Amino acid sequence: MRSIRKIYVTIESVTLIVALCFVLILIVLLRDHVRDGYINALTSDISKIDILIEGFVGDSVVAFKEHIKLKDRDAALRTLSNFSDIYHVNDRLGIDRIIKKDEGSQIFRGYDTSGSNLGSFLRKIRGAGFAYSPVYRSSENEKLGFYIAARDKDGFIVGRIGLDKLLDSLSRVAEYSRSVIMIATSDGYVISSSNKRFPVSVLPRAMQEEIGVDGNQYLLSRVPSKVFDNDIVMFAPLSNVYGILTSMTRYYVFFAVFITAAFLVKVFLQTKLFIRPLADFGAMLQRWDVEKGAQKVSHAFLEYEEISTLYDLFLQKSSAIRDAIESIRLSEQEVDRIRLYLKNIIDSMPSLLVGVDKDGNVTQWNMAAQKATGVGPDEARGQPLDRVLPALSRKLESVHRAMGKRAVETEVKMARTVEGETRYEDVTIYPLVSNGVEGAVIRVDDVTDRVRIEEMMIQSEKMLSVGGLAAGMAHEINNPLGVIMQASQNVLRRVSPDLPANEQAARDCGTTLSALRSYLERREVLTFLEDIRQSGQRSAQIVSNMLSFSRKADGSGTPVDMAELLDRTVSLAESDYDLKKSYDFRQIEMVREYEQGMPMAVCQPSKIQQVFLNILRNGAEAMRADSSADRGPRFTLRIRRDGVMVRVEIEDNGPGMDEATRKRVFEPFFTTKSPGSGTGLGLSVSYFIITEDHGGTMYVESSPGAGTNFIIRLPLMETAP
Amino acid sequence: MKLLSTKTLIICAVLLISASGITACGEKEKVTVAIMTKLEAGSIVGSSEINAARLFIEDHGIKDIEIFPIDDAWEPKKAKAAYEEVKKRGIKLLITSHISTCAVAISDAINRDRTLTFVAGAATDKLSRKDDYILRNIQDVEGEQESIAGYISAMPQKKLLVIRDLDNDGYTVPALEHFLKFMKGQPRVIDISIRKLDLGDLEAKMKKENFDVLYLLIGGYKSTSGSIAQLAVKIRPNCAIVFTPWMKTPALLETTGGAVKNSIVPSHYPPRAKSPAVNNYIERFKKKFGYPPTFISLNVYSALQIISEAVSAGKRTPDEIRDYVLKKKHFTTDFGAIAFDDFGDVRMPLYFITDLTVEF
Repeated sequence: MRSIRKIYVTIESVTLIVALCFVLILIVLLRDHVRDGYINALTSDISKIDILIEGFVGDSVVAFKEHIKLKDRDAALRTLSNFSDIYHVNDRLGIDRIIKKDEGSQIFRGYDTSGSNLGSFLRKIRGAGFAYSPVYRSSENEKLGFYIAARDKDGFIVGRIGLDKLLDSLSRVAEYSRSVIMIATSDGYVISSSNKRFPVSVLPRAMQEEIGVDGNQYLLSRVPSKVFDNDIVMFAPLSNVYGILTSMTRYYVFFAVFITAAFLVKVFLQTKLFIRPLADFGAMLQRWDVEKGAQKVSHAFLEYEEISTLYDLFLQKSSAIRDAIESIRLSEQEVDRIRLYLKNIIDSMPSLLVGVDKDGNVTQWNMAAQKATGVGPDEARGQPLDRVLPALSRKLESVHRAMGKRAVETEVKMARTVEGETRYEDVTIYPLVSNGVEGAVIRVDDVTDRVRIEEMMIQSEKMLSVGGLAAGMAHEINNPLGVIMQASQNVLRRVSPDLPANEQAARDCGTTLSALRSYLERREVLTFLEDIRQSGQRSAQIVSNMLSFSRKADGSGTPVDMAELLDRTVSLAESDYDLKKSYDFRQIEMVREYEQGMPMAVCQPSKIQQVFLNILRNGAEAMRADSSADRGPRFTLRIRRDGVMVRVEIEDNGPGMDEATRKRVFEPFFTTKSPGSGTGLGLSVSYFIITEDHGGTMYVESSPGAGTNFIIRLPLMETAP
Repeated sequence: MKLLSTKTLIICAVLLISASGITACGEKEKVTVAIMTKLEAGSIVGSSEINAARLFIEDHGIKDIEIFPIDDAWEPKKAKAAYEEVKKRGIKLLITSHISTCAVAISDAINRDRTLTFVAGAATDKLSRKDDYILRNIQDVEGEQESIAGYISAMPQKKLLVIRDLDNDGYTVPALEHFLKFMKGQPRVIDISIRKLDLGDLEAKMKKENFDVLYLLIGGYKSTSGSIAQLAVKIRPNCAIVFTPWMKTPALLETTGGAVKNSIVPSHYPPRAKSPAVNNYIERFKKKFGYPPTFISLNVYSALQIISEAVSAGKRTPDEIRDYVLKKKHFTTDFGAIAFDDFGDVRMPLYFITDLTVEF
């Protein structure tokens, strides 16, 4: 996010840097330009000085030239007023005649000039022409001047022109231009300076150069004089040359610091004027508590009209915001309340409710789901359904189908084993079709009790139907059955050797009873009669069993220790001959899981024992018939409290039953054995005994390969009807 | 960026500027030494002394001493004015390279202001044997004249004429007194004013004298002394001409002309041929500045060397430097040993140079 303050400071900083750079570049660019211009000006000034010199000496030179032509040189001395000295020097460089001598000059007739500059100058004169020397400082009086000399027949006529007046003029020029004017030899040795204290006695080789002298910078310009064999030199302070540029250069650092300081002050003041009010406004906003409303602000805060207007607008808007927030808060509270209420409703439902999104991830997880899985809502949300609820993993296809078709998918009585117990669940998948939200809600209801009740009711209905049918048939069958039984018994009695009347009747018929019996035995008639009798008895038993469906038990129950009853039944099963025929109970492993401290149950022990025996027999037969088992037969006997009931389980590890078989196992006359192996009434009667006679429940859990478990629940003594 | 940062910026800028100032202020101030002499462009006198000082600073890489040249034109009135300017600038260390009258003219002011002064060029004995702020690394006129008198006395020439310049009476009057004190016999003396010299008149006077050795008692180099030497040789071609040590300058060659072979110049330093240090200095000076230096420039060089040693020892005020010099007394300079007495004066014998063409 951009900051006004940062942008502003950045712009100002860039401006400052640009300004400083601009000035610097300007100084640099102008420097050379100004320098060149000034050098040209200096050169021009020096040329003017040279012209001045030329003017100064010009007339004198002309006069000297004319003078030397004169025969009477003494007479024309007044024409040589510019000359300080005029003398004749002989060939040995000694002064042999003094025509004019400067006041203070220490030359005299006979003065030897050989060691002086004059001597050096005269030696260089060749021929008959005249010459003039470079500017020298006279060895006679140390004054600056130059010599003009012309050879004559025995030496030289020499005139000396002092340059005091010229030097005065140069000093004034130098003072005016604030520069230093020098006269130097062509080798660069200074012989005269307008500033005696100027500490340069030897010049650099360059004709133009910037040179530092005693901490000051000068522009040196050196031009050979057209008049003398000397150079005229000007030292112009660079402050003259560059003027303001020099000041700017010298004080650039201070200028830069000053400008920077001014910039900082400017930024500070402008920040204070423009940005600080915004910052203060922001700080006020930060302190603003919606609940308490806008704080009072100081008068200084509102001193600017724009800020004051902004503040008034803020007050208006903040009030509106506060109202809106309050409204939102109330709405949120209502939403929260409703959400909680809905959550309570959802969590209160016994059904397991799981919401999923279109990708199958959990979005809603109620309390029942948490109880069923042990996974909390926070943990479950966002997870794939099959991860948190593996039991429904096979329903994912149904979920997607429901969402796709926007139709409810239902599966009833879906069996699931929970801790070894088969539970039945109705799974209903409701697609979410409103408000553009895609997903589904899965409702799982545990209908195990209902299924069992239904089965029991069906079983009871069956039993009742069978009972009614049986009662009707029993009465109809009993009569002819009685005749058959009676007649067969009479026949057997009529041929019994025990009765004397039978012997007498046989003799009366001309035979003996033994012969008669032999014939009957030989022809197996007695066997037939015995079969008739046994079949009749069995039929009578069956009729009797069938009648038991239609009559409730007439006896009241007694307190029984279920564990003891069951153990007794097992012992009975182990010792019973008939049972041994098919299987040996002693070869069957018995595992007992009896809960300690069980209260008594109220029942008719004999009938319950009958039920136990029936179950044990069926289980033993099933285990015996299971040729694929690679384990030994085993019964697991469990007794535990189940609420107000005692729960007795007799489980075998036999082959188990399929669902179709399991559903019909308590049906009268339903059997899986071959005909003649059983009537199919055993479990039906057992069921009747438990449910009708004792008010208990009986059901079976079985699946192929998983054994069979008969679960009987009987009321405990404290709750027995 | 909060407002505080802007304030911080400003504070930092102020602190930076202050730190620069403090840093600048923290740098040690240089000790300024004024050198009072005649400054005239084109003249080796004066410029030699200033350049000698510069050469010393360059040779020894001195960073804590700076030079301030000031011109007195070798005139007492201008010397006083020059001193006032030195004082106005707050300079408390001074080396003088001027004639005795100038030295005497400013001596009271020097002592009043406690400005430590090294006299490198004046020989007047009015400054000798005083417990004051004037130190001298050149012997006074008494010692000088004793040496000259001794030399002349030993010469085979015996008819001595002395020409004395009274323009520099601060030097020449006591000089003659001491000379005569040490000299055997009473030579003839002709007093002149060298600025207003009438050579014709002098020539007439000289012709009247019978001399074979001429002692030119002139303080400070004057080209006129060369003229007088030529005049003497004109009158007495074989006379020996003895100058004062103040005549030892190459310019003498220009003005003596043919009299150079008659000329003898006393010197405070050995001839170049016998002193590699002096020779080396002169060669370096010539190479750097283009002309041979005066002998006084060596005095200035040595004086600056002594001051520099004191400054390096942590002495910065005139009193501290003076006490340092008077306590230590013995110093070794580039040109030899210097020994101060209790008054800050020295006593050294002179050398006498007879072949000026080799020396210059």
